[in-house]
Amino acid sequence: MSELVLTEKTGRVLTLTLNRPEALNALNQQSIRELRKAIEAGARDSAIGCLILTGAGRAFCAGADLREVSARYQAGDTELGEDLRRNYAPLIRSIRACPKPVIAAINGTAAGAGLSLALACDLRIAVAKAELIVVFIRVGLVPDAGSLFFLTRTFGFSKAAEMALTGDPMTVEEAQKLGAIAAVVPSEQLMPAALEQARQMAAGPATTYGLIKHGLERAMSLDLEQSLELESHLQTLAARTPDHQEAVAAFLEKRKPVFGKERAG
Amino acid sequence: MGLINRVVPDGAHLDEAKRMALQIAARPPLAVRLAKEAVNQAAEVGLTAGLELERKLFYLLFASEDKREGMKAFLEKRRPTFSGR
Repeated sequence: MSELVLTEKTGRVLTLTLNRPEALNALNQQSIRELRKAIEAGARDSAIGCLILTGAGRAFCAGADLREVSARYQAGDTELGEDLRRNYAPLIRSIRACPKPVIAAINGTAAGAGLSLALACDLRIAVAKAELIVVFIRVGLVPDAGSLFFLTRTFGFSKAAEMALTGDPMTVEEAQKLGAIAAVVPSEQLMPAALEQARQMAAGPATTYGLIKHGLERAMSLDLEQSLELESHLQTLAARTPDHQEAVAAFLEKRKPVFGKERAG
Repeated sequence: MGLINRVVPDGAHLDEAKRMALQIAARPPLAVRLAKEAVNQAAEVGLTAGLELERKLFYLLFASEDKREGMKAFLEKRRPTFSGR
Protein backbone atom coordinates (compact mmCIF):
# COMPACT_ATOMS: atom_id res chain seq x y z
CA MET A 1 0.00 0.00 0.00
CA SER A 2 1.03 3.53 -0.68
CA GLU A 3 2.01 5.94 2.03
CA LEU A 4 1.64 9.10 -0.06
CA VAL A 5 -2.13 8.90 0.26
CA LEU A 6 -3.63 7.36 3.38
CA THR A 7 -7.07 5.80 3.06
CA GLU A 8 -9.43 5.15 5.93
CA LYS A 9 -12.98 3.85 5.91
CA THR A 10 -15.34 4.97 8.66
CA GLY A 11 -18.67 3.31 8.00
CA ARG A 12 -19.72 4.52 4.54
CA VAL A 13 -17.21 7.39 4.56
CA LEU A 14 -13.84 7.16 2.83
CA THR A 15 -11.19 9.61 4.09
CA LEU A 16 -8.20 10.24 1.84
CA THR A 17 -5.23 12.01 3.43
CA LEU A 18 -2.39 13.50 1.43
CA ASN A 19 0.59 12.28 3.39
CA ARG A 20 3.78 14.19 2.64
CA PRO A 21 3.61 16.57 5.62
CA GLU A 22 7.34 17.38 5.41
CA ALA A 23 6.70 18.79 1.89
CA LEU A 24 3.39 20.44 2.90
CA ASN A 25 1.71 17.67 0.90
CA ALA A 26 3.08 19.01 -2.39
CA LEU A 27 1.87 16.94 -5.32
CA ASN A 28 4.23 14.82 -7.38
CA GLN A 29 3.36 12.47 -10.20
CA GLN A 30 3.13 9.49 -7.89
CA SER A 31 0.92 11.12 -5.26
CA ILE A 32 -1.36 12.53 -7.96
CA ARG A 33 -1.77 9.09 -9.49
CA GLU A 34 -2.42 7.44 -6.14
CA LEU A 35 -4.93 10.08 -5.09
CA ARG A 36 -6.80 9.72 -8.38
CA LYS A 37 -6.88 5.93 -8.06
CA ALA A 38 -8.14 6.19 -4.49
CA ILE A 39 -10.91 8.60 -5.55
CA GLU A 40 -11.92 6.36 -8.45
CA ALA A 41 -11.96 3.33 -6.15
CA GLY A 42 -14.21 5.23 -3.73
CA ALA A 43 -16.47 6.25 -6.59
CA ARG A 44 -16.90 2.62 -7.65
CA ASP A 45 -17.28 1.11 -4.17
CA SER A 46 -20.98 0.70 -3.35
CA ALA A 47 -20.09 0.48 0.35
CA ILE A 48 -18.88 4.11 0.21
CA GLY A 49 -21.35 7.01 0.20
CA CYS A 50 -19.15 10.04 0.68
CA LEU A 51 -15.46 10.98 0.41
CA ILE A 52 -13.32 13.35 2.47
CA LEU A 53 -10.08 14.81 1.17
CA THR A 54 -7.60 16.27 3.66
CA GLY A 55 -3.88 16.72 4.32
CA ALA A 56 -1.51 15.40 7.01
CA GLY A 57 0.40 17.95 9.09
CA ARG A 58 0.01 21.72 8.96
CA ALA A 59 -0.88 22.22 5.27
CA PHE A 60 -3.75 20.96 3.13
CA CYS A 61 -1.68 20.93 -0.04
CA ALA A 62 1.03 23.30 -1.27
CA GLY A 63 0.38 22.51 -4.95
CA ALA A 64 2.89 21.06 -7.38
CA ASP A 65 6.19 19.86 -5.94
CA LEU A 66 8.63 22.33 -7.48
CA ARG A 67 11.58 20.11 -6.57
CA GLU A 68 10.19 17.36 -8.77
CA VAL A 69 9.38 19.84 -11.55
CA SER A 70 12.91 21.20 -11.37
CA ALA A 71 14.41 17.70 -11.49
CA ARG A 72 12.40 16.99 -14.64
CA TYR A 73 13.65 20.25 -16.19
CA GLN A 74 17.22 19.13 -15.41
CA ALA A 75 16.48 15.88 -17.20
CA GLY A 76 15.34 17.81 -20.28
CA ASP A 77 11.59 17.36 -19.75
CA THR A 78 10.19 20.88 -20.00
CA GLU A 79 6.68 20.10 -21.27
CA LEU A 80 4.67 21.14 -18.23
CA GLY A 81 1.47 21.10 -20.32
CA GLU A 82 1.86 17.39 -20.94
CA ASP A 83 2.25 16.84 -17.18
CA LEU A 84 -1.07 18.66 -16.69
CA ARG A 85 -2.85 16.63 -19.36
CA ARG A 86 -1.52 13.34 -18.10
CA ASN A 87 -1.64 13.80 -14.34
CA TYR A 88 -3.50 16.83 -13.01
CA ALA A 89 -6.45 16.88 -15.43
CA PRO A 90 -7.44 13.24 -14.76
CA LEU A 91 -7.20 13.90 -11.00
CA ILE A 92 -9.51 16.92 -11.17
CA ARG A 93 -11.89 15.01 -13.47
CA SER A 94 -12.00 12.10 -11.03
CA ILE A 95 -13.37 14.40 -8.31
CA ARG A 96 -15.92 16.05 -10.59
CA ALA A 97 -17.00 12.73 -12.10
CA CYS A 98 -17.35 11.03 -8.71
CA PRO A 99 -21.11 10.44 -8.24
CA LYS A 100 -20.69 10.78 -4.46
CA PRO A 101 -20.19 14.02 -2.51
CA VAL A 102 -16.52 14.88 -1.96
CA ILE A 103 -15.72 17.09 1.04
CA ALA A 104 -12.46 19.01 1.35
CA ALA A 105 -11.40 19.17 5.00
CA ILE A 106 -8.96 22.07 4.69
CA ASN A 107 -6.61 21.60 7.64
CA GLY A 108 -4.13 24.26 6.54
CA THR A 109 -2.96 26.30 3.59
CA ALA A 110 -4.18 25.32 0.13
CA ALA A 111 -1.98 26.77 -2.61
CA GLY A 112 -1.84 26.51 -6.38
CA ALA A 113 -3.01 23.12 -7.60
CA GLY A 114 -3.76 22.34 -3.93
CA LEU A 115 -6.35 25.13 -3.91
CA SER A 116 -7.77 23.85 -7.17
CA LEU A 117 -8.09 20.42 -5.58
CA ALA A 118 -10.07 21.94 -2.71
CA LEU A 119 -12.29 23.96 -5.05
CA ALA A 120 -12.98 20.89 -7.21
CA CYS A 121 -14.59 19.24 -4.18
CA ASP A 122 -18.32 19.68 -3.59
CA LEU A 123 -18.07 21.17 -0.12
CA ARG A 124 -15.32 22.78 1.93
CA ILE A 125 -14.86 22.80 5.70
CA ALA A 126 -11.80 24.69 6.90
CA VAL A 127 -9.80 25.77 9.92
CA ALA A 128 -9.56 29.54 10.43
CA LYS A 129 -5.77 29.69 10.04
CA ALA A 130 -5.75 28.16 6.55
CA GLU A 131 -4.93 30.47 3.65
CA LEU A 132 -6.01 30.11 0.05
CA ILE A 133 -3.30 31.16 -2.37
CA VAL A 134 -3.27 31.27 -6.17
CA VAL A 135 0.47 30.95 -6.01
CA PHE A 136 1.33 30.47 -9.69
CA ILE A 137 2.24 34.08 -10.54
CA ARG A 138 4.96 34.00 -7.88
CA VAL A 139 6.86 31.47 -10.00
CA GLY A 140 5.87 32.90 -13.37
CA LEU A 141 3.22 30.31 -14.15
CA VAL A 142 -0.43 30.43 -15.19
CA PRO A 143 -3.10 29.08 -12.78
CA ASP A 144 -3.59 25.42 -13.69
CA ALA A 145 -5.19 22.16 -12.56
CA GLY A 146 -8.63 23.68 -13.11
CA SER A 147 -7.81 26.91 -11.23
CA LEU A 148 -9.00 29.19 -14.05
CA PHE A 149 -12.32 27.37 -14.14
CA PHE A 150 -12.94 27.07 -10.42
CA LEU A 151 -11.63 30.52 -9.43
CA THR A 152 -13.82 32.43 -11.89
CA ARG A 153 -16.90 30.40 -11.03
CA THR A 154 -16.38 30.28 -7.29
CA PHE A 155 -15.29 33.87 -6.69
CA GLY A 156 -16.41 35.73 -9.82
CA PHE A 157 -14.17 37.30 -12.45
CA SER A 158 -12.97 40.26 -10.39
CA LYS A 159 -11.85 38.35 -7.30
CA ALA A 160 -10.38 35.57 -9.44
CA ALA A 161 -8.31 38.13 -11.35
CA GLU A 162 -7.12 39.74 -8.12
CA MET A 163 -6.04 36.41 -6.64
CA ALA A 164 -4.40 35.14 -9.83
CA LEU A 165 -2.57 38.36 -10.68
CA THR A 166 -1.36 39.29 -7.18
CA GLY A 167 -0.76 35.84 -5.70
CA ASP A 168 -1.89 37.32 -2.38
CA PRO A 169 -3.47 34.89 0.09
CA MET A 170 -7.19 34.92 0.78
CA THR A 171 -8.25 34.22 4.35
CA VAL A 172 -10.72 31.46 5.10
CA GLU A 173 -12.94 34.12 6.67
CA GLU A 174 -13.16 36.02 3.38
CA ALA A 175 -13.64 32.83 1.39
CA GLN A 176 -16.54 31.91 3.66
CA LYS A 177 -18.14 35.32 3.13
CA LEU A 178 -17.86 34.74 -0.61
CA GLY A 179 -19.66 31.42 -0.24
CA ALA A 180 -16.69 29.15 -0.92
CA ILE A 181 -16.43 27.60 2.56
CA ALA A 182 -19.39 25.82 4.15
CA ALA A 183 -18.07 25.96 7.72
CA VAL A 184 -15.06 27.25 9.64
CA VAL A 185 -14.17 25.20 12.72
CA PRO A 186 -11.34 24.96 15.30
CA SER A 187 -8.50 22.61 14.27
CA GLU A 188 -9.42 19.82 16.69
CA GLN A 189 -12.99 19.82 15.39
CA LEU A 190 -12.13 19.72 11.69
CA MET A 191 -12.21 15.98 11.13
CA PRO A 192 -15.16 15.34 13.48
CA ALA A 193 -17.13 18.05 11.65
CA ALA A 194 -16.16 16.72 8.22
CA LEU A 195 -16.97 13.16 9.25
CA GLU A 196 -20.35 14.17 10.65
CA GLN A 197 -21.25 16.00 7.45
CA ALA A 198 -19.99 13.05 5.38
CA ARG A 199 -21.85 10.55 7.53
CA GLN A 200 -25.12 12.42 7.00
CA MET A 201 -24.69 12.47 3.24
CA ALA A 202 -23.49 8.86 3.12
CA ALA A 203 -26.76 7.89 4.84
CA GLY A 204 -28.80 9.80 2.25
CA PRO A 205 -30.31 8.90 -1.12
CA ALA A 206 -27.16 7.70 -2.90
CA THR A 207 -28.29 7.78 -6.53
CA THR A 208 -29.71 11.28 -6.16
CA TYR A 209 -26.33 12.74 -5.14
CA GLY A 210 -24.91 11.55 -8.44
CA LEU A 211 -27.81 13.08 -10.38
CA ILE A 212 -27.45 16.39 -8.53
CA LYS A 213 -23.70 16.51 -9.12
CA HIS A 214 -24.25 15.83 -12.80
CA GLY A 215 -26.88 18.57 -12.95
CA LEU A 216 -24.77 21.16 -11.12
CA GLU A 217 -21.81 20.41 -13.37
CA ARG A 218 -23.86 20.84 -16.53
CA ALA A 219 -25.84 23.85 -15.29
CA MET A 220 -22.70 25.99 -15.29
CA SER A 221 -22.67 25.98 -19.07
CA LEU A 222 -26.42 25.91 -19.82
CA ASP A 223 -28.99 28.66 -20.28
CA LEU A 224 -32.33 28.66 -18.44
CA GLU A 225 -34.25 26.73 -21.12
CA GLN A 226 -31.63 24.01 -21.26
CA SER A 227 -31.46 23.85 -17.45
CA LEU A 228 -35.24 23.46 -17.18
CA GLU A 229 -35.09 20.55 -19.60
CA LEU A 230 -32.11 18.94 -17.86
CA GLU A 231 -33.94 19.18 -14.51
CA SER A 232 -36.98 17.48 -16.01
CA HIS A 233 -34.82 14.67 -17.32
CA LEU A 234 -32.88 14.19 -14.07
CA GLN A 235 -36.04 14.40 -11.95
CA THR A 236 -37.64 11.59 -13.93
CA LEU A 237 -34.65 9.44 -12.98
CA ALA A 238 -34.62 10.57 -9.33
CA ALA A 239 -38.34 9.90 -8.94
CA ARG A 240 -37.81 6.28 -9.95
CA THR A 241 -35.31 5.56 -7.16
CA PRO A 242 -36.43 3.45 -4.18
CA ASP A 243 -35.04 6.18 -1.91
CA HIS A 244 -37.49 8.74 -3.28
CA GLN A 245 -40.40 6.29 -2.95
CA GLU A 246 -39.33 5.61 0.64
CA ALA A 247 -39.15 9.35 1.44
CA VAL A 248 -42.66 9.93 0.09
CA ALA A 249 -44.01 6.97 2.08
CA ALA A 250 -42.23 8.24 5.21
CA PHE A 251 -43.74 11.71 4.71
CA LEU A 252 -47.26 10.29 4.50
CA GLU A 253 -46.65 8.05 7.51
CA LYS A 254 -45.13 11.00 9.43
CA ARG A 255 -41.87 9.17 10.14
CA LYS A 256 -38.23 9.63 9.17
CA PRO A 257 -37.21 7.99 5.90
CA VAL A 258 -34.66 5.19 5.90
CA PHE A 259 -32.56 5.52 2.77
CA GLY A 260 -30.52 2.81 1.17
CA LYS A 261 -32.81 -0.08 2.07
CA GLU A 262 -31.72 -1.83 -1.10
CA ARG A 263 -28.08 -1.62 -0.09
CA ALA A 264 -28.80 -2.75 3.48
CA GLY A 265 -30.89 -5.71 2.46
CA MET B 1 -23.46 37.38 -1.52
CA GLY B 2 -26.50 39.36 -2.66
CA LEU B 3 -29.09 36.63 -2.24
CA ILE B 4 -31.26 38.81 0.01
CA ASN B 5 -31.92 42.46 -0.87
CA ARG B 6 -33.19 43.59 2.55
CA VAL B 7 -33.39 42.07 6.00
CA VAL B 8 -36.23 43.55 8.06
CA PRO B 9 -37.67 42.96 11.55
CA ASP B 10 -40.40 40.33 11.94
CA GLY B 11 -43.69 41.49 10.46
CA ALA B 12 -42.17 44.40 8.53
CA HIS B 13 -41.61 42.40 5.35
CA LEU B 14 -44.80 43.48 3.53
CA ASP B 15 -44.28 47.17 4.31
CA GLU B 16 -40.72 47.04 3.02
CA ALA B 17 -41.76 45.07 -0.08
CA LYS B 18 -44.47 47.67 -0.80
CA ARG B 19 -41.99 50.49 -0.28
CA MET B 20 -39.58 48.90 -2.79
CA ALA B 21 -42.42 48.18 -5.22
CA LEU B 22 -43.62 51.80 -5.06
CA GLN B 23 -40.07 53.00 -5.62
CA ILE B 24 -39.70 50.88 -8.74
CA ALA B 25 -43.24 51.70 -9.89
CA ALA B 26 -42.35 55.41 -9.81
CA ARG B 27 -39.56 54.83 -12.34
CA PRO B 28 -40.19 55.16 -16.09
CA PRO B 29 -42.03 51.88 -16.91
CA LEU B 30 -40.41 51.32 -20.30
CA ALA B 31 -36.91 51.58 -18.85
CA VAL B 32 -37.78 49.24 -15.96
CA ARG B 33 -39.17 46.69 -18.40
CA LEU B 34 -36.16 46.78 -20.70
CA ALA B 35 -33.72 46.77 -17.76
CA LYS B 36 -35.31 43.55 -16.52
CA GLU B 37 -35.10 42.09 -20.01
CA ALA B 38 -31.43 43.03 -20.20
CA VAL B 39 -30.65 41.52 -16.78
CA ASN B 40 -32.39 38.30 -17.78
CA GLN B 41 -30.40 38.10 -21.00
CA ALA B 42 -27.14 38.97 -19.28
CA ALA B 43 -26.84 35.58 -17.63
CA GLU B 44 -27.13 33.75 -20.92
CA VAL B 45 -25.39 35.73 -23.67
CA GLY B 46 -21.72 36.48 -24.32
CA LEU B 47 -20.03 39.87 -24.05
CA THR B 48 -20.49 40.85 -27.71
CA ALA B 49 -24.19 39.99 -27.75
CA GLY B 50 -24.59 41.72 -24.38
CA LEU B 51 -23.02 44.97 -25.61
CA GLU B 52 -25.18 44.82 -28.73
CA LEU B 53 -28.33 44.37 -26.65
CA GLU B 54 -27.39 47.28 -24.36
CA ARG B 55 -26.86 49.47 -27.42
CA LYS B 56 -30.22 48.55 -28.98
CA LEU B 57 -32.20 49.03 -25.77
CA PHE B 58 -30.42 52.33 -25.13
CA TYR B 59 -31.39 53.69 -28.56
CA LEU B 60 -34.93 52.47 -28.07
CA LEU B 61 -35.29 54.30 -24.75
CA PHE B 62 -33.50 57.37 -26.06
CA ALA B 63 -36.46 57.88 -28.39
CA SER B 64 -39.03 57.67 -25.58
CA GLU B 65 -41.10 60.51 -24.17
CA ASP B 66 -40.06 59.53 -20.66
CA LYS B 67 -36.41 60.07 -21.54
CA ARG B 68 -37.22 63.59 -22.70
CA GLU B 69 -39.29 64.22 -19.56
CA GLY B 70 -36.57 62.79 -17.32
CA MET B 71 -33.82 64.96 -18.76
CA LYS B 72 -36.05 68.04 -18.79
CA ALA B 73 -37.06 67.53 -15.16
CA PHE B 74 -33.42 67.12 -14.19
CA LEU B 75 -32.45 70.40 -15.85
CA GLU B 76 -35.45 72.19 -14.34
CA LYS B 77 -34.62 70.68 -10.94
CA ARG B 78 -38.10 69.18 -10.48
CA ARG B 79 -39.51 65.65 -10.15
CA PRO B 80 -40.33 64.02 -13.49
CA THR B 81 -43.82 62.76 -14.34
CA PHE B 82 -43.51 59.65 -16.47
CA SER B 83 -46.14 58.59 -18.98
CA GLY B 84 -44.82 55.16 -19.95
CA ARG B 85 -44.39 56.25 -23.57
